[in-house]
Formats: sequence, structure tokens, C-alpha cells
Amino acid sequence: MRSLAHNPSYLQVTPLALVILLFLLFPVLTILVVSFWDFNAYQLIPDFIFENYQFLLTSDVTLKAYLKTFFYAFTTWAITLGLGFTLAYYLAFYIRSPLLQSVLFVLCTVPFLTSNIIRMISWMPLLGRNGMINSALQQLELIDAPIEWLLYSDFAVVLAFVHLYALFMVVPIFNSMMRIDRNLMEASMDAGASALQTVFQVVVPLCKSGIAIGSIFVVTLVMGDFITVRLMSGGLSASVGVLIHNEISLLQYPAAAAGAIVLLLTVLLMLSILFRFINIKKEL
Amino acid sequence: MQINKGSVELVGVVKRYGDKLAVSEINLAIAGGSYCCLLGPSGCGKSTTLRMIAGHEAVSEGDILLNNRNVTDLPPRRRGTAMMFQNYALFPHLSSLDNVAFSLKIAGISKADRHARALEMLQLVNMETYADAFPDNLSGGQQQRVALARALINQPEVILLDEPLSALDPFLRVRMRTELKRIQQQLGITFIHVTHSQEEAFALADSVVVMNNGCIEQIDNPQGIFRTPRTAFVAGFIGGHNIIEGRLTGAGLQISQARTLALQTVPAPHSGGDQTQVSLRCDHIRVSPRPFDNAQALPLQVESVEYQGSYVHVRTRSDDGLQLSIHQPDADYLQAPLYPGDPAYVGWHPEDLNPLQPPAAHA
Repeated sequence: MRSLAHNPSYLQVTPLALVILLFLLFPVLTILVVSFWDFNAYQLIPDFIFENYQFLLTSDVTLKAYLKTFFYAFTTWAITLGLGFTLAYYLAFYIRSPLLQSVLFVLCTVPFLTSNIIRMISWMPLLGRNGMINSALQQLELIDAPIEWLLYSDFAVVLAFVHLYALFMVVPIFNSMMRIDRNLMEASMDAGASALQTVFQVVVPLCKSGIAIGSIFVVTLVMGDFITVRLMSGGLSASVGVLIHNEISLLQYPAAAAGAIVLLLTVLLMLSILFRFINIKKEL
Repeated sequence: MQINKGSVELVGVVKRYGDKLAVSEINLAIAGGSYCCLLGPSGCGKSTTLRMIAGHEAVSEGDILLNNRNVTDLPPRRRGTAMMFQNYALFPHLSSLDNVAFSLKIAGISKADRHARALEMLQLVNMETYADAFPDNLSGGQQQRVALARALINQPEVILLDEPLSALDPFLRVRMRTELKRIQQQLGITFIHVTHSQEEAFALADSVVVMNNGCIEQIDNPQGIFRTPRTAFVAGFIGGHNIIEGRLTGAGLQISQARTLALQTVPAPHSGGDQTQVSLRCDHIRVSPRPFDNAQALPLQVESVEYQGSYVHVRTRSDDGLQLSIHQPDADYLQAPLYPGDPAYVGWHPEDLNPLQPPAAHA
């Protein structure tokens, strides 16, 4: 209490601290506690056992799911980065009129006016076995049989991820690009750099924070996803999220909790590696 | 030092933005190894002209020659010019040393080599102790030195400076001005410097190019510009001049029925009539509360008196419309002070009336 009287700023951070405590820390702690409980087909038994983790960390299924999740996360990250950087570059440096810039920027966000599920489902009539792409190709007699890998495949999953999350990459990169002094581009050209050299020597280093923030969004979203993987792979692929979801459906809460804790630690580890390379605090 | 190295020539250069004419057909020859200032108000086309020489702005018509080599369509780096930008445009993610070495890195020179050469350049501008500092941690003057070193590293024949001193505080501005001149003379390369400050242009330039509305109003050395401004715009822009308008008659310049000023040289009449203008330096007018030899017969009236230190600024006018600003030496003022409302007898040598040309025709 003494410090509170001396330093009223503690009082000022109390509301936020309470919110974080109640809605973030408390649930996570609950999950952590439950992950050590025992369970059988119909009940949870408070306990302190390591079997959930033991099973999780030695299972082949977990390893496969993690590899699959890493594959989705990496592929989606790479594609959204390429796409996001190019789009942001075009918006920031090629569109001269600020009005057109904001109009195009808003246009980028239009898909976000519909829900995730609807945006995913809307791919199905396009990609399905008898969908628009397959029937069009067949009518043009370019293919004899429908292409099977368009839907319910890794391709479909990554496509949906890119569609869902590309904007999370565009916005922060666009934001950091808009802060680049245009004279720097000319200074770079004056030094003899080609357009491509200017991009890699000047624009990319100055967009590092935007790229990092976008990467955090995309990677964490993909790592934690289960609905996209289930819908777009037709249940054929399992990511870590899908595994956890399955366990919850079977009322195996302690196992699901253990899975969630391991996933959380994995993502935190990935982020801490990222922060090692880029000082985000400096840029905010 | 070769005389011709780094000479720049603009032949009929025009710049249009859509329908708007930014620079209208200018011809300009800048001697190699000289310090040239493009002087004019904002929007007069001086920066556009500089950027066209640098290659950052396409030329609509005309040619730009460097060392008698046509560089109109060459990219910036292949012209042998280097630009120093108004806000210096240092790369915030690179240290001073890497900023200076940037173009060498682009050229694919090894790290050790380019750092050695960059350090040499930083030494030239007395910034070697800040080699590892990032631009954000440097003051305006230090950033400018780094920017200058970066411009110099490729041994350009021409350095282009876009308002290089405008971001500095007045004290630093004067110091950097001296520094710029020192480096220019030490290296003997051409400096083309855009500024809106006539003080800066006079202090630095071998030749001053006064621009207005996309046209060149006058090219001369600073003395020539100040002693014999060619047009009313030049006389007004550099300041310290009265512009007197009148009708040209056999006796001289007629201001009113009663007042005609004798002229040494007869100016060209402005198009459309015999109206013409002359300029008269404020500090070449003698003023006194009492008549004196060679004074104008009709006195003016003192409107205001401002003490300025080395001189006193006396504003006078007469009923016939003649208005004169006078810089009176403070010793004269102290001997016979003038007060607002006093009659002011004024006089000057007839050759001090400098005939002005009509403004350059705008295409």
C-alpha cells in the first residue's frame, strides 16, 4: 500500500492489469492446471500426473500434426509475405494520389466484411470436383478428368489461409512503407542502385518492423487454426489445432489442455526467435 | 586543374507537368570547377532545374550537357553528378560510414575497401569520429556533413545541392557555408547550389543565376547582380534597391509634371509605351533634412526611421508618388537626425540610376 500512495501510476494501470489477469492469465493458468489432471471416458479427476504430456510428446500423431502445422505456417507466411510486400509496395510507391491510395486500401479490406467461414465456403463451388474451375477446364477439353487436388487438399488449405490472412501482412508493411522518406529512393538511385537493389538495400531494411508484425499475425493465426484446416482439407489433414479440437469433442479436456500448453510454448518460442532479430519496440 | 572538367550546359531545357510549364526554355552554361547558385523564390523552377541536371526529373525538351557530353537520357549515376538532398536523405538503417559507402556497396566493392574509402571522405568533412553513429543520433550539421561525404565519395565532377543550408539554424548555416566553399575550392569540382537566400548566394557563388517563373532573369557574378540588376524582379528579390517607374522623355525619367530624374544611360522602353523602370540602391542615396549640392530640388517627406545598427533605414515619399527607401550610414544620421514628418532632401549620382529591362517574355 505504501508504494501505491507514493506512486499513483500503479493505480492507473490497475484496470488493464485486472483485465489481463482475469481474461488472459487466469484461463491460461486453468488450462495449465487441468493439463495435469487425470480423466476417463466420463469424468475429470483432479490429480497431478504427467501422462497427458507423456502421451502427447511420444505420439507419432503429434509429430505429424506439428510438421503439418509448420508446413502450413511456413508456406502461408512465405506466400503472404511475397504478396503483402508487393501489394503494399504498389500502394505506397506507385499510387501517387492519396485519395486513390486510401480507396484501394479500403478495397483491400472489403473481404473482411464477411465472416471467415463464409469466405472459406465460397471457395467450394469454385474448387470442387464439379466446381467452376474443373467444369470450365473440362468443357475447354484441357483435362479429361476433374483435378482432384483443388479442394480437400493442402493446396486448398494454404489457399484459404492466404486469402484469410494476406491483409494482416499488407497493413503493417504498408504502414512502415508510408513512413519511408521518398528522397531515400532518389538518394539510392543517385548512388547507382537499380530499382531492385533499392528495394532490397533500402525498402526492405526499413520495412523490417512491418514485416515482423505481419509475420507475427500470420504465423500465430495459422498455428492456432483448426477450422480452416478441417473445412478445406475435408478432414484429411490434421493440424495441432484440429487435434486439440478433436480431444475436446471427446471430452478429453486434460489431454486437450496439455496440447494447448505445448502449442502455446511452441508459438512463444518462435516469437522470441523473431524478436531476437528485430527490435519491434523501437518501431512502435 | 582543367578548366573544362565538370562544365554543365543546359540548352533550351523545358519542363512541363501536364499543361503547366515549370521551366521554360532555359539556356545556361556553368564553367567547370565553379560555384554556381540558382537563386529564386519557391516555385520558380530552380529545384526542378537542379533535379533535371541530376537526372531525377525527365527533361521535356532540350538537352543537358556535362563536359560536352549529352547526358539528357542517362540515369543519375552515369552522369558523373551527385546530389545532396534538402533533408539530406541519409539512410536511417545505416551508420554514417555505411551511408557514405552505400554507392560503393552497390558497385560491388569489398567491405574493407569501401569502408576505408568512406572513412577518408568522413575525414574530409571532419566526421571520422562519428563513423559508427546512426543518422538519428546526429545533429543537423553533422547529418549534412555525412550527406556531403556521401555525395563526394564517387568523385563526381558536379555536386548538386538542393537548399543544403535551409534546415540549419542561422549560426550553423554561416559555418557550414564556409565549409562548403572550403571543400569546393579544395576539390575544384563544380558545385550547383539551389537557394532562396541571396545572402547565401552572394557569399558562395562565382556566378549567380536568378530565376523567376521558370525563366532565368539574370546570370552574373554576385557583384554584377547587386550593382546592376537586370530586371525589376531581380532588384526586388535581392533587396536593398528602390525601383522607380516613370515615363521616358528627352530630359530623363519623368516621374511627375514637376520631377524628372536625369539619366546617364537611357533604358529600353518597356513594350507598349514609353514607361520604364530604373533601380537605385538604397545605400547610394544621400539624405539630409537640409538641401545640399546635387540634391533633388523637390524634397520628399520622411515616413519612418528605423535604426538598424550600421545603418538607419529611412522611408520617404512625396506627393507625386515617388517612394524611396534609404539606408543612411549611422554616422550621418547621428550628425543630423531625421524624424518622421521632416522634409528629406535626397541626392545621388546620375550613374547610380540603373536602367531595368522588361521582364523576360514568358512563353
